[in-house]
Amino acid sequence: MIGTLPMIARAPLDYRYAFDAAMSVLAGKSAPLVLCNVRELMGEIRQRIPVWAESRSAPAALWVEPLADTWRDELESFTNALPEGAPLAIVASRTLAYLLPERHSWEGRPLGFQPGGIGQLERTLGSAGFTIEASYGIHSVLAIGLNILSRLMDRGGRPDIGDRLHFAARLRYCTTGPLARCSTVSLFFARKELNDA
Amino acid sequence: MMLREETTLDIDTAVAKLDAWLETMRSPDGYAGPVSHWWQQSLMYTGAGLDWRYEGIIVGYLQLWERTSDMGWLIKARRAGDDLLSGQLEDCHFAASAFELNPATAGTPHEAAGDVGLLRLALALRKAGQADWEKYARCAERNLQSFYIAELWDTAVRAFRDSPRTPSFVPNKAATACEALFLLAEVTGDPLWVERYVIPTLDRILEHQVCGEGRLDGAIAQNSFGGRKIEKYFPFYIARCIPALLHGFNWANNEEYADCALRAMQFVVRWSYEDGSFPIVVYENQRVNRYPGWIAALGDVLRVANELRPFGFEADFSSTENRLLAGQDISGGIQTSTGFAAQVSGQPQPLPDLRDVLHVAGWCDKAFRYLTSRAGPELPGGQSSPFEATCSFRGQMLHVVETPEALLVSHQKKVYYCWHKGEPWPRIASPELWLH
Repeated sequence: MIGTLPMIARAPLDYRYAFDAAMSVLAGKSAPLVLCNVRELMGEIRQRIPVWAESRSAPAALWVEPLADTWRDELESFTNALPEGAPLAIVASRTLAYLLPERHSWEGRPLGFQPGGIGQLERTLGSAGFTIEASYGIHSVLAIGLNILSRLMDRGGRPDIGDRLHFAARLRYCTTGPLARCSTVSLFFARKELNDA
Repeated sequence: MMLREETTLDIDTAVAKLDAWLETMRSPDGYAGPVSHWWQQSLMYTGAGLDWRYEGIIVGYLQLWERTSDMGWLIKARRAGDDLLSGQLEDCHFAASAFELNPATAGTPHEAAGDVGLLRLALALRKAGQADWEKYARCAERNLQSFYIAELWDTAVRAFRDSPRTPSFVPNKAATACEALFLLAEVTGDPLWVERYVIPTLDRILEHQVCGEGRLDGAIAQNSFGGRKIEKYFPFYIARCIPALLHGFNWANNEEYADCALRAMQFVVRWSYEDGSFPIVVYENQRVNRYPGWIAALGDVLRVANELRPFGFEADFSSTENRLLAGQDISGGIQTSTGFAAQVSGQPQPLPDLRDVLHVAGWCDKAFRYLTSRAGPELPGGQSSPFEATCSFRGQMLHVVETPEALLVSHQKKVYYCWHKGEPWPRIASPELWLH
């Protein structure tokens, strides 16, 4: 059933936003393959995708938080499991995610925290038979800056301006292009290439 | 006399169309659809939301049953109650009960608002001698006991928190819980629900009211964390505090509650605009954000104004009612607001924002509840016809088409958003529409 995680157990908005966005390629397909390396995010995924593929093949896949120690093996498993043309959504933290207090206790060594880690993933996706169709930065540095200003205005006795800055930040929460690297979470939409041979 | 008849006819037609539109929003699990809201949007999750939409929908259908004697309306009220029964989880929460924060459960005031619907349904069925009324009452009682009493009741402060882990108080949300507990006391015949939980909570609401001579007199602060009040005043949410205060006055004969309710509504009226709208928020420094200016949600303000009239409240709300009725589209849905695009800049744009023209079940229920209280005794047939509008979203001109089957947002040949009604996620959602 969708919508079963209590409000107090929710993940930071950065990840919820990314998971909702990922549904734009996962929804409408039968149970996707899901690989999530963060225990604290499992509930958010389950309440969006109640049924996961049990077999090693699926029409689509979601890969959450590739880890520095295991990502190559996991990518290979996606290569083997997904049929040609199948979408793969990848959600990966970037170093700015250190700013999120909630994730300080999360285990594992995210690939996105390693220098050049995300770039390495992008390059290897191509050699593994995937085409990256789109990439996004969730919770952009611009949104972070506007939210800091918002709080300063709030504390300075101008909550009216603070609220407007908060909503301005929300409009800039997701970004593309070079600025996408300056965000807390990356979202990639890749697709298993068609084998013309 | 002629004017009154015409108004009644307008309302009957509006109710018939709104009912037809609500039918198009049915999904296998209940009333569904995207949400636009001041704080956040839920444009991605489009499945059923077992949230405050069930308050207005159930009460609205019960009112239609009472006013027309047509059993068809009772069947629809029951069906809505059954949605909540089916969607009650093992932990007694309702699935996807967080409205603009969906998908999530344990939403406030949403679960209490659903309980209000269930308890009103139970009382109506019991009065009609129908045997299965108890299942609706039990469902609500389980939720109130397990969530509101066990998790949100703050014994030290003697009021309902907004979150189990944070010392927090939100007057309008606590007021909705109080409304549910008044009904539970009526269903069970046990006054303890009111004496132990409601009366202290109403006293806490009184503490959040501004007392003074200025334009803020009567306003109720939106929330507080511990002893720190957040001095933002939302006319719509202030209005939603009033019914519980009036219940409290009737229960305890404490005039402070009636006085608080009257002054709260006088605050709302004081800040109204000529077009019948209200600022979305008034700040302590008396600056406002006018936008978005609610339309469908005005049903709650109109309902509360009527509830206050026996207490000596007088004000002309005809422009507000006209604004509400004028907001109904050919689909039967009522638009959410005007000026959403001005939320940040304060400068209205020539085209409505996409979020303005969305018809949202959890706003339209408020219009439905108010309008059904004045409809009947006979309603015309209603139907939901395809609706089209040109709007803008984040600077992009867009074309919206809503049919009974789908909601499509496009520009020229590019489709930005496509939701097939009944499905929990849109089939197409471009990044611009991921906005939370």
